[in-house]
Amino acid sequence: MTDEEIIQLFFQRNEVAIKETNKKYGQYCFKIANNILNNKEDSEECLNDTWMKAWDSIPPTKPRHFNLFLAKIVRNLSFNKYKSKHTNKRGNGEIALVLDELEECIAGQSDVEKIYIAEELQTTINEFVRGLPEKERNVFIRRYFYSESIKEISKRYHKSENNVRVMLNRTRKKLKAKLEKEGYLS
Amino acid sequence: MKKEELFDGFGALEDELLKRSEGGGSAMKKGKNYNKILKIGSAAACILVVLGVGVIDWNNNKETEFNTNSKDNIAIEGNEIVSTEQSKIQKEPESYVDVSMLLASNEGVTEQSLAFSCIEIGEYSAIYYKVESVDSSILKESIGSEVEGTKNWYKVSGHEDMQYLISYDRNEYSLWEFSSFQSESYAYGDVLKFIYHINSAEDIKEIIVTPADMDNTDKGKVIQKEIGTTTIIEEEEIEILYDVLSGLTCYGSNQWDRIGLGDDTPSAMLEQVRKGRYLTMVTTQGMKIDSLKYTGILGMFYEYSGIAYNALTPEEKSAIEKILNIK
Repeated sequence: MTDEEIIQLFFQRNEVAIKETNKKYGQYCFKIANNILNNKEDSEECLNDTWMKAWDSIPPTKPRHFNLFLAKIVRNLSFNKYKSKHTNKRGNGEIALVLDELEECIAGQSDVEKIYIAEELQTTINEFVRGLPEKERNVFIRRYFYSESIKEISKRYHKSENNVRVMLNRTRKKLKAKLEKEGYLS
Repeated sequence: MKKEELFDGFGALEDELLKRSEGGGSAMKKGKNYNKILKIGSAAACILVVLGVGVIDWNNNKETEFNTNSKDNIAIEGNEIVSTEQSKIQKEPESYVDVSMLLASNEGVTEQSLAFSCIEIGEYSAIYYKVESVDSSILKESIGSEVEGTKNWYKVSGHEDMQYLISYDRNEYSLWEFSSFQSESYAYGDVLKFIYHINSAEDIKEIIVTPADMDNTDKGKVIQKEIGTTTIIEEEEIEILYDVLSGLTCYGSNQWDRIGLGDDTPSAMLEQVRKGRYLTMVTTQGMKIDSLKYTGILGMFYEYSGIAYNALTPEEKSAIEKILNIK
């Protein structure tokens, strides 16, 4: 079934929409959830929540890229669950490494936390990512949006793991410079 | 700012950026010589014609190939083994494999992958997406010649076109379908020529035209039924369509802003059905290309995933809509 047909089922409030979404994108969304949660049961729970969220959002939303629409929902829900489960302790799996890496980008900021608007940060990140060379950009996205492992990324783009690490390290430094310039780290 | 907040900040990345990152896979060497591809393709075509090799029954084909492998006791362990097999296959005339037999619908497989891969073909970077397919072992038996300049990307056995390719990666064979070139704009004639191996109207056997189905309400279905399905077989009509299509400029995917389908109100949706047609080109090699769609609302071709083409001139629009019976 095509995405358009599935979305049409959502618009018709036909519950088959959820079944078809699960059939077509269950594995895809599970991977994103499990990269963050590293737990089968939690990931499956997030998947169900994702279908419900899609059900509540469509209509009126009519996603242009259905898979990416779902990817953003499942990523958000999974990370919220991760945060609620790991409030005071370091988590396991790829996400812990991803977060540690991102911490490098904000190291050195003053103890007084700067107030910022989340939407503005998102815009800044979009601008930054859009301005990266294509290969660097794709590697960066696979790591910090999809939380894919270095190994997975190296296989996807046919690069050595070391090459991917170096590329990510370089890009994180650029991001830090951008965040400093934009006043997020003062 | 906390690291978690920074991670959250990545959650709203633009779709276009995310979609592009879906790519991966092997990259072909730059500066590939198209003429060489065509020469190889033509040579393969000649061999097929001379030997009179037609469509071979899949079961016979499978059995024969499995027996061969069994005799040679070849196990898939890595790329070197594939190369051995490949060189063996290249010494023999390729059997023609019907791609429809490789698609998952033939085995009731429902698993869906969203993997994209970019392969450099001459001056273009071609985007292929992974499609549901039969088991890896069957794909293994269906590989044809290796796509020049790539590592572990194969045409389907007996095919000169590159609509579908078979990839070997991580001890698995998978089937990939061409989507578009990764370029701001390119000539659709190049897609016809290099991907679908359509060099003239003579390479198109027929074009099946079905009504657009974006409105499946009762009213929408009535209109669809009235329009019905037609098959264009007249040489003159196919030639007009080919001339228009080969002269189109394609603007790649996610170009919905360029595609003027109109809004989503019930009356507009019905109009989209009235003015819309889906085309399936059947080549003389038996390939079916069903990605092209036409909307008479603005007089342009488009494809799913928002692949847009330039709007037709009034003369072209008139000629195409006459053939497609759009009033």
